[in-house]
Amino acid sequence: MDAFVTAALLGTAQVDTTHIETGTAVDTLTAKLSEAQEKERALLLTAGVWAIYKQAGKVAEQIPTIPEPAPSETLPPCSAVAATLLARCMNGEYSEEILNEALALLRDAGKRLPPELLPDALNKHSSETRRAVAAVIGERGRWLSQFNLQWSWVRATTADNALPSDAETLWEEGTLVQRRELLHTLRAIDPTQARAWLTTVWKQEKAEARASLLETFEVGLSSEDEAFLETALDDRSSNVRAIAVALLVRLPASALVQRMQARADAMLTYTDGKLAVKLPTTLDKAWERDGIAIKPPSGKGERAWWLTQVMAVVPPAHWEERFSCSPDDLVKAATSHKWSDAILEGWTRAAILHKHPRWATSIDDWLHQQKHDKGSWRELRGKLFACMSPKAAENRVKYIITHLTLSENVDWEDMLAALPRPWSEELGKVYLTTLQLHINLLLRHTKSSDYQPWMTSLTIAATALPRTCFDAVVEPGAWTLPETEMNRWEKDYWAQELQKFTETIQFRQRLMEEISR
Amino acid sequence: MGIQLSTDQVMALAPDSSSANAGKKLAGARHWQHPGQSAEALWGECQGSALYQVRVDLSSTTIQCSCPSRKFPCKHGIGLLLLAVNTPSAIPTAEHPEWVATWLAKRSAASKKREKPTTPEDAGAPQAPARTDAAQSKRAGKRLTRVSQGLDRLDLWLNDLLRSGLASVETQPASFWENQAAPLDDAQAPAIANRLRALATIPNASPDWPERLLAQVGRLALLTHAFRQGEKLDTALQEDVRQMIGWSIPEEEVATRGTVVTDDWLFLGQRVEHGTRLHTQYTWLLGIHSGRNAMLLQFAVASTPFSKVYLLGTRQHADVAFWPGAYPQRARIEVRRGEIAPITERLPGTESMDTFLASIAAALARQPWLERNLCVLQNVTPVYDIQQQRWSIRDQSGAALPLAKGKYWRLLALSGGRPIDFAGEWDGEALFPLGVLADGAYHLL
Repeated sequence: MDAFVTAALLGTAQVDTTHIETGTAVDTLTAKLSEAQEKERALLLTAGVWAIYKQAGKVAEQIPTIPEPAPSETLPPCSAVAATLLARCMNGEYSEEILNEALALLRDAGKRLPPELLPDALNKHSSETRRAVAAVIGERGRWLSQFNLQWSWVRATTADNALPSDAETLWEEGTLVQRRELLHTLRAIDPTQARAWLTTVWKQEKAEARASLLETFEVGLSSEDEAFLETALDDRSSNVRAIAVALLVRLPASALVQRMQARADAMLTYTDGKLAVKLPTTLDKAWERDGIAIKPPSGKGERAWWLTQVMAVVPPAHWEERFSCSPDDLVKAATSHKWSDAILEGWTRAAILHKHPRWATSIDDWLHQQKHDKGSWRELRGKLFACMSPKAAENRVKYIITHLTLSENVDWEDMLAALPRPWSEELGKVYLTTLQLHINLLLRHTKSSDYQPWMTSLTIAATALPRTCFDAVVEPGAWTLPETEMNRWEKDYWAQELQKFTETIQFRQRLMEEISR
Repeated sequence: MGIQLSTDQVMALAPDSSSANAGKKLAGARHWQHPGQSAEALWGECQGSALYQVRVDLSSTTIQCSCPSRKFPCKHGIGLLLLAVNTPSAIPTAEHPEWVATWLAKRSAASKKREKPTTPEDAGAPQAPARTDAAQSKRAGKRLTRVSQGLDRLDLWLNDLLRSGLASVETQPASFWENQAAPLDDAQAPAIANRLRALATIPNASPDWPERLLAQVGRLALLTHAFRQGEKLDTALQEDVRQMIGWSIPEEEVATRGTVVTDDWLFLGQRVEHGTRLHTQYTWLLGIHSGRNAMLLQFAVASTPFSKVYLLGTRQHADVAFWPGAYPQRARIEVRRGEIAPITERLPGTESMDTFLASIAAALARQPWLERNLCVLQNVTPVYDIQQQRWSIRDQSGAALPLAKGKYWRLLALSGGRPIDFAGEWDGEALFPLGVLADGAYHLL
């Protein structure tokens, strides 16, 4: 520290300051001070001059070498207007789905993000968005990612789903996030090799790593993985065991499924159109190993829960074969049984797991005929839709929304949300026409609870409508609200929601036009 | 619209986030009746609880709305601008309606209205009454005496401080400094009072606080010393000293008492300092032909917005008036001439760090109390040291200066490791980035 600073800290009462010098030109300037002023004043003035002298004499530091600049870009950038639109997607003004749609458009157009958007793009977290981003960050994006640990995921993700050139080194030395990405990519290219990699390091990995890496086996899953997964059923970590079970149940020929089938056969018999259920009183360890939880969730009976779980694993086609009847017959039989809920929940989960469209439609028919809304089934029903063919699913939804009278209290928004996106043009048109119809009807009635599903559906439709339906939405005057003596507040609310809806569609339209320009 | 504005720039004009959101909601064409635009102006009518008229003077981005909102700019103004930026086709080019034409004519007439606060001392103070010459000189004499006495007291106190040692301030509360600053306000020396108040934040704020504090009290002592030199100082430097003690020059008089420079000015960027009572906004301009730096200052108390709005990243031909002084820096825009255009050309600056630092030394030689300066550099590269997490700007020869504490990923992305043109504010120790020119476009940071 300067002699000045020490002197100033301690005070002139304690330190003799008459001989403190800077050893620079400042001294000539301050030489006369000590005679003319009190020592405190002299110290102050000298300190002031010294501070300014140092400031004026500031010298730059030297940085001899810098990292290599980013390589030249191979893809052209998008237009400036497209860049401003993408910036709005990036900062969360619209949903993540719309961002992913925009990024996919960019990739299909063979363009890249402008540099100022790169930090925001690299900061995204969901793996789906990250994959979309990786395709359009260009050379500069990859260069930029090396400077921030949070962006290390880029190194392991390549745009064209090939392994990066230093894959082996990255596998050995990278972070868990990077290794998982690598394994994920490798499973798509060569699942056997991926399995070999994992087997080699399996014993040394921590539980968290084992779980995360094992999850990648959902890509390229085949019966060849069975042996490895079967050993994972005995893993120390419950997480890893659960993942192994979730993977094995997707292989109908696996030993686990066969074991389940045997248990199921012992439980369920079908004679003369009637089902009979025989449940065990206790479970042994083998059941638990195969993934059956003994303790049920609250609200369910213990043995009913076992029944559901076992049914949930067995491929539904097995029952058709065993009992020589159709899904509809079986569903009918189940509804009249006292354990109907348990059985049907199990079969529903099995249909979803094994993606059986015929069973999905049968079960959905039954759900549709239920007079009371099975609120707890809402989520499952949505998943059933994912199993059906897109056409079948859309047809069902079309039917529901066109036959909806205001007195029915069916929550169909989840079904709408579960439909694959973008919707077909046909569904889009039906939706829009029915929407207009309902707005007119709703505003003439006073029951306020009925417009809720339509309100929610607007957010879904804003992202799901196909581009061929855009013009119908953005036409000026397309959404005129009828004159009504109804609640001013409700009318305003509708006007506001419709405006948001139209604006989102307009935004998507502009994005499509600008990116492909 | 004549200006290429970005949505970000418009949203930055909003005084707070609720205005910004309200503005967004009004950005649809269905809200606006008879909107129109011309080379000089933008206008429209919006139906709220009454029909509100909004007009925008494009040469200075001044927004006026007939709604009773006290926020400025109000949500109607923001909404109309957003509409113009997002959906330009929604606003046809048209002749000025009568209510726009008369407004524009009034604005370009010479009448100068009383402006909002321009100095921290004026902010919140009531308007002063008119003065006569004789009364004025009597008042001036009294003020000189009061200030002189106030500064004498300050010097005595500073001497006491140095006698007992700076270490003693480490445990003092804020009132320790306030008790010396308040009498200076009473002595009509408010600017130096604020300088003293600012010292309260230094003890224990950083490992080198004793050195910093000593430097600042040393500068204060030099200031009072300079004040006593009076006429012996260069006239220009006298002006600086008077302003730093508390004599302020009203905005209307700056052009006559200072200098006016007409040039093409680049609006390079802005920084806001948040104080406990007061917020200060520094907007930096660079004259392309004259090479002059201009620092536009605005003050605001608590949560009120800054009264003037500057479009950054643009250039405009204008007359800029500088406050008188040995190194004129503080300035105001007198007259705007010509259209606002985006900055697309290389920034006029030096390529060498050493040349820049030499220019700072030359500036300090003329006015030693300068605290901050504009720094415009060509062909420099931002560098990030991952190990030490330090950011710097480096010229082609390897000379580098540090950036103020922060994260500058956009800066790094825009440069890609290649040289760019850089504009920042230099405070003697670090550069605060304002904007960069990369690939023919100016980006604010």
